[in-house]
Amino acid sequence: MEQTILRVQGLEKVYGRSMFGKGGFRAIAGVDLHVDHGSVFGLLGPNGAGKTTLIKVLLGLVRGHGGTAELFGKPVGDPASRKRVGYLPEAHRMPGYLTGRQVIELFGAMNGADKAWLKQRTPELLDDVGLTEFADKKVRTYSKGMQQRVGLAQALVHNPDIVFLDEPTDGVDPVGRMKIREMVQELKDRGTTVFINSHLLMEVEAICDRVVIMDKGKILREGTVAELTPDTGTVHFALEEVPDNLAEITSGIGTDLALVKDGFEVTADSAEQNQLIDKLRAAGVLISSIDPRRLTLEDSFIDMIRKERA
Amino acid sequence: MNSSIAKALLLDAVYQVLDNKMFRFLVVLSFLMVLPTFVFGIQEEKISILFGLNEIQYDKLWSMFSQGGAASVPDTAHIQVIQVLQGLFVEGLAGTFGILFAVSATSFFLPQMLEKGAADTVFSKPVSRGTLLIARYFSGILFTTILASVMVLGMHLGLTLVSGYSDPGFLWSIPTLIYLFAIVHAFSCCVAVLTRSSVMAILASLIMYAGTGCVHSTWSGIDFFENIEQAQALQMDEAVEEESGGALTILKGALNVLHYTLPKTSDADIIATKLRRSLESEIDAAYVDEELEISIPADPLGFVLQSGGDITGAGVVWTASDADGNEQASITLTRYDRGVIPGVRTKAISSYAARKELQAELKARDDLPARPKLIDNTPVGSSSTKGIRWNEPVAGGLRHREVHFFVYSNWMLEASLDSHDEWYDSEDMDASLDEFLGPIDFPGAGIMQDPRQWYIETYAWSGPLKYNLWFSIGSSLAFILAMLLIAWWKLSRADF
Repeated sequence: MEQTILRVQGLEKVYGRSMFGKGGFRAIAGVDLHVDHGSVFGLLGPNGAGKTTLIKVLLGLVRGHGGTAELFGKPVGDPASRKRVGYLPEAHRMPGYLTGRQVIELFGAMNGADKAWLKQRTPELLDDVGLTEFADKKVRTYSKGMQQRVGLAQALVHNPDIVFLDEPTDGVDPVGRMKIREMVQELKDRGTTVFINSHLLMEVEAICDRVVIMDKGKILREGTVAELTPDTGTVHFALEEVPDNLAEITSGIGTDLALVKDGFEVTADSAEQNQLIDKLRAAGVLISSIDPRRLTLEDSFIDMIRKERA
Repeated sequence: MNSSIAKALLLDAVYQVLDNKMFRFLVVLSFLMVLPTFVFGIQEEKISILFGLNEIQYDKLWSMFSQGGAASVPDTAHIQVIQVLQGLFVEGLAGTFGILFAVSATSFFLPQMLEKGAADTVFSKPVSRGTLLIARYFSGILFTTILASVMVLGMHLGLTLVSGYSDPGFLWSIPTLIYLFAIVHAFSCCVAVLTRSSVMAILASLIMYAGTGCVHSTWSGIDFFENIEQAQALQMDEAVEEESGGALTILKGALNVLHYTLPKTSDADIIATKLRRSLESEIDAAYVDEELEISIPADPLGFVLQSGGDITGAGVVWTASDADGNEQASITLTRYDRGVIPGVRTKAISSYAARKELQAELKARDDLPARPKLIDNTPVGSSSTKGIRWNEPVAGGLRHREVHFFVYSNWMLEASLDSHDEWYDSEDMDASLDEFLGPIDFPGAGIMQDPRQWYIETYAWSGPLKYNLWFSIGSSLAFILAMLLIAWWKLSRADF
């Protein structure tokens, strides 16, 4: 199996350009991306950042782009490049005249899967997404969450090597979300590359191991979740009981001390943290926990976008 | 595209069709139309209702539709009733309303697939957009094939079982409806891709269907009256005045362009009829001109048809021999275009003019023993022959020569007799030729009163371009192809 699944270089897409190549809205402005096998990618960005356009270009849904884009070594316009690709579109609409089972079988077959193999695969998949009971009901009778699950099933039916999930948990209840997260983890364990486009940053933080942040058609940052959520240098001390003379006990150690409900936060290095522990213990204060404060993905994301727009 | 993808797309089409409320309504309607053929038995003597529960005699039925009391009931009354009903069905119910219903029921196929949300899923699969377009196009064809088959086969079965007769030609209405629908549906698919709107696809298709019908009717109406005018002028040997310039010429020019480029939806039933005749017809006749369906019931008395004759070439030849087997006479029948031929003649000729031309030629000869004589007209079809006879000097005597000109549509037919003079006199050839020419059967006698009938009968597989069936089929197929190519072009560049 080839290591590089997706390769994008100097990708550009302008919507509504005139016949003479002027004007229009630049949705993607020179994106370079290289994705290897077996990672879970989070694609983040504000509305209009170009995330969905990027996915659609890769799936051949948006034509007339500049630069090069390849899936499995084939140009993205070539239908053969999509053979090992699964896609759950945002706000999708599965054919209402089909049952859940028929949807899975239809899209499985459109991906070239064999009928006999599909007969075996479909019940497994229906079970995985929790739709066994409703398998033979028309999709138009499904709730939003059920439609999302059948959408996910059609994306995974042919065991693709890369899956693009555009807002996969949209409209799904918390239990369903957990189920989807588990499925993504299973895909990752199997070595499937997953591309998730989501507004739910906490979800991305929980699922993804690499994140791409986009704005105005460009990639602002790409890296692991740890790289994008750096240590802030602030430490949170949770105390069993906050003493009245806390300021006196901690005075002169660290900077920017701030009282919080269950203790205090302070900017302190490792040595200063140890000094603080010693002082608190000496004063008879019981420490519940000590947590170094990291930037959340959301904070990091907002910070990055603000800086970009400034 | 591998077979599993093809099967999946076909199955998807079937599911979509079966789920369609309009389709189900039409299936019910089809059964309602089939049902009477099982309930009413149109038998030889009477119409039997519910297997004999009630009966209607033909004389009562005939008197209802005849003016001034009792009318004689023909022996084939039941066949006539069935043919009228089947004709009504093909031309009215299925041919017009059926197509309109089918277009309404299928026009949403493509727009639904192109809707936001649906298109993303479908077009992200490893199937080309062109394949998906064709799959959707054929879904519509499948839809109509099922409906047309249910209706036509059901009615045919009902009539055959209960009434004991159904016109076999009725079955040809299935391919006719499919052909007609294929044209309209291609246009509908094109509009659907361009606008992504079901409503626009339906409206535009209905306008196109009505529009092509209007263009065709107007064009064939004008063509018919021009031909009538020309025929009348030729009959009286007058020059036809060409109207030139002005709005009328522009209008006629535009109409010609539209007629030649637009699909010929109105021709669908004519094509089926002609195809049926050419495939089925085993007319009991001495000779049949396959192209124009002119049939000659019997050979001239005492003559034998020679094989291999070509009516449009050297002619179809009958020969007569004496008791010793010596050839005494021959009759040659030829047919040629009587219309304008650039460089040869500037106006179409009538039988009268053709005879006059020959008469002038003969008069100019100084070797003839006597002046040629004009012959009384022999009625043929809806017109009559214009004949001329003369004696031709040959070594050892004279030969009797006779030529009879008669016109059918755009064609001139020429029957030429060449015989020994003595033999001619002994065999009463006058009567023999009358008996030969008189019963010649032209399809659609009396067509000069009905533009549609004129058009139908003038149409031929090898007729001039404007009356050519291959051109009609070809231009309609080219239209289908053009519509699908435009749709494919647009679809292949669309962003979803």
